[in-house]
Amino acid sequence: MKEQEIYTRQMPFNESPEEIDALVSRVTDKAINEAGARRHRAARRRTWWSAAAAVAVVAIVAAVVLLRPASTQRELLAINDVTTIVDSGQTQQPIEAGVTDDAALDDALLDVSILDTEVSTDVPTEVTAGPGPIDDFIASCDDAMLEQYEDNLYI
Amino acid sequence: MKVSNDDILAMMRSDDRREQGYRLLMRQYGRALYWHIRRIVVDHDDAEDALQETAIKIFDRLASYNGDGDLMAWVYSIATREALQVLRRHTSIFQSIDSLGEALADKLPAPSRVDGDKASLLLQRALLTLPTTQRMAFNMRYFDDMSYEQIAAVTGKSVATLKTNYHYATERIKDYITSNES
Repeated sequence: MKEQEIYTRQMPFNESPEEIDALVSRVTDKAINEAGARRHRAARRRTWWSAAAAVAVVAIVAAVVLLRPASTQRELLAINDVTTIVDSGQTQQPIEAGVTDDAALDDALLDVSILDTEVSTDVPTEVTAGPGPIDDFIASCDDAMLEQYEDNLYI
Repeated sequence: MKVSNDDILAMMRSDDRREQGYRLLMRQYGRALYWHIRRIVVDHDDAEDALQETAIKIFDRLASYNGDGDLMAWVYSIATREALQVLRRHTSIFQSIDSLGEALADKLPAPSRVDGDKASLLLQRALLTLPTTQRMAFNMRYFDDMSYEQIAAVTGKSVATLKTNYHYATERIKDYITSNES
């Protein structure tokens, strides 16, 4: 390209080269300032986004920590109710509240299942029949009565 | 003192000398860019707007400019897009910027207020009767003395197409001047 004079070759405009140079200098300064301002705005936006992301992470972690144990405890309370019913006053230990992990929960449910089986096969150890102690009753019976009692006992 | 494009690019890519490199680039090409834009949009205020946008985009993008091709063609291509963008703002949705010729001609200064001769004003009026692509090809070839290869890098068109555009432009300008000379 030739010298800059060719830019204004036969141009019917009044602006002098000095005016155009001043304009170029002005837009150059403005572009630099604008770029600086944009970088500043971008940095501020990044800060806001970082803060928002941090708050979101904290909220999610808090929700996981607070809500998950609560729901687990509700399940355990329901299991304890079942245990209480099945136990019927026997010596089975209730499942401790605060059992939170799945493996412990499975163990607890297994205990309930075993307990259920134990209760259903439980046999009374003491038999009462008639108005008095069995020994007195048997002693007062004659042979016919005793035979009849034994027949009734094994039906 | 003229600084090489490579030196300007090296400065622009260095964090601490970026601004200095940019100022050098604008000092080197700013005036040419202004007139390139001015010949497209005609109005001075529009040219200033487009030049401002061009300056901002050059500053933003120069750090990522890969250095392929001519730096001057690259800055001209940005200026061309911004100038055309300004012209589009003056059209309605279904109107082509080629239809703005008469409106742009009205923005040319009156002959009595112009320092140049009457012929240059007639040339500008003739140019504004051309389609934008022909007008830009003629401007860059005639006023900026650019090679067809450089113009091709600015416009993205082939050299053959640009030669055809330039040929048709000169023919139509001759016809216009002949029929409007008095």
